[in-house]
Amino acid sequence: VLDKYGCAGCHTLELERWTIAADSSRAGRFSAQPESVELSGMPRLDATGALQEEDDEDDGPRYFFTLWAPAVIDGQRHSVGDADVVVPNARRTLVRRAQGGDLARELYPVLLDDARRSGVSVAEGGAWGWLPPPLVHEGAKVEPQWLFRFLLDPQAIRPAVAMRMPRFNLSTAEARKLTDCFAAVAGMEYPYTSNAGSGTGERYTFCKTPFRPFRHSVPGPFAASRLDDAMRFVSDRTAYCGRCHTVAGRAPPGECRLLHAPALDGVGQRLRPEYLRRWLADPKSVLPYTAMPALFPASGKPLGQDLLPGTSQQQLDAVVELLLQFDQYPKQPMTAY
Amino acid sequence: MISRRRFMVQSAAAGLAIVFAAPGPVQAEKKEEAKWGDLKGRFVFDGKPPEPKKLKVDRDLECCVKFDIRDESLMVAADGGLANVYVWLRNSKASVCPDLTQTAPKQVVLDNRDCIFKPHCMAIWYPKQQYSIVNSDPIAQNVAFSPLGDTPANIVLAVGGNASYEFHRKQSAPVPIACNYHPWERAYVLPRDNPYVAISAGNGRFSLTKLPVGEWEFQVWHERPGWLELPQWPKGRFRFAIKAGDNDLGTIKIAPARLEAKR
Repeated sequence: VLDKYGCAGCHTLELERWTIAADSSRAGRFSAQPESVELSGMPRLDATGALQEEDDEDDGPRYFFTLWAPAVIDGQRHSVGDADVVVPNARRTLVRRAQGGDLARELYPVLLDDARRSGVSVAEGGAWGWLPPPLVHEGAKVEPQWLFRFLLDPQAIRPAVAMRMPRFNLSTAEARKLTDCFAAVAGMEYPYTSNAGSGTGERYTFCKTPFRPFRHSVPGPFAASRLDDAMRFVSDRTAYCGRCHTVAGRAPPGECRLLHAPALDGVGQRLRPEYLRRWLADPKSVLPYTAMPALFPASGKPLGQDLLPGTSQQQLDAVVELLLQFDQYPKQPMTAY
Repeated sequence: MISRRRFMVQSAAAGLAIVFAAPGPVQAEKKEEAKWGDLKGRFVFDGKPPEPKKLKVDRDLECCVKFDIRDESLMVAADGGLANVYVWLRNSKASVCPDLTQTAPKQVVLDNRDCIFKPHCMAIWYPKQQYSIVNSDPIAQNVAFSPLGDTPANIVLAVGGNASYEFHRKQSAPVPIACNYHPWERAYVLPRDNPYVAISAGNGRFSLTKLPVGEWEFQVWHERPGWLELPQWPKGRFRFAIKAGDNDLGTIKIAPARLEAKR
């Protein structure tokens, strides 16, 4: 199905992989040091779309690799979201190009240039957020029922994106195959949805009504006042979520759509709860190029205490809980939960 | 037994020997001065100074609309002085004058003020100086940058907020800084492992002080083209033999075409 509809034209289906040789100057320091290590992710590109190169000293060029999977290099662990790995050219022994996403890579420098010419400043890598996303973690990210519906009837999610997903008129069988495929590749538990094996013969149903009433991320009752506080944080347009996201139909400030992020109203239906929690806790560890800041830092002073008091962990719990039931939140009696 | 006269002669001779053998403070200072030299020059835009474009300000209007916010990517004085040109020593093996170690400010501060970053261009001697980020505006700010091979930063600064960031490696070009809340804001910071970085002032003048004497390679960079290339400066680089005292590159005229933004 992926081949039939040319999904790989826009989306990266497999990330680039570089094999780098162990640092010979450190030989013997680590007893179990492998001779080489494979990195999976995206090489850093410059504003022209070429491989970002550094030749500050005279010992040959160095490149930079953004990890999408953790790696141990020369005995040191590198996590996703950390600094890019510095790769001297001499240590780069094998390059396996990404599969798919050629159009996105072609457009990256064009969009970056357009933005800068129109006076929009973006952090390095930020323009990737305006392009069709890599689908490598799609199955771990989205709810299968949402994906099934989206494939049949794509809706705009990210206002900043330069290209819209066309409607391919997939059959339900094809949409189901793709949904299952993404979930399986991501290692999700089978069956991939709770209504698998229903009497209709279809594991997914194409319906307009919400398909999931409530899913608490925190065990036990959750205070309504806590959700109210979380709502104040989420809808805040000065510094927090409402600054970039549409919340309850209210768009973020500013006309520049490049800085507008997806509406939060449907997040609970679109994203898996465990993904949503990881994403909010540390966005760069999930999507390295994201422009989303960490609003619930693991260390340091928690933000937004006037809106949502508590530790970062408590704030995170409250916001995850709110987003998972966002569509129903305004309809709940204030003493419920 | 030594006679008084002989003692006097011997003492005087010993004193003279001490004077000539060990340099006094003035001589030591002169010897130290002979090790270091300054490099100065002036960048001039060789054309009619352009009027900086007014940028679109569409957020936090109650605070930001009162400021005349303009494109700072090409700042030219009325007399042609070209600001914000970086000149730095490429070689990291050069020794550093001890005076600079003592006199370098402890902090380099990036301020969010008047709805822009101030200063627009800065440098940091990262092993010695701390990078501090403050918000002087009555609105929240965001500071995002991603140095090559170093920890990415995406910091939310509430009103009155401040933060610090630690660089771990030198960069071979200034790092762009963006604000995801205010798309018109932009700044640059160049972290280096020595203090030999200069940024031309509003009048186009720059000065690298107390460089070690010897021939060195320098890098020239401007945010529009990146490497500021001239026929005699391929890749924006030039070699120069620094002599003790003053060294003057003179006036460097830059044709407008060399300051076109590259894609």
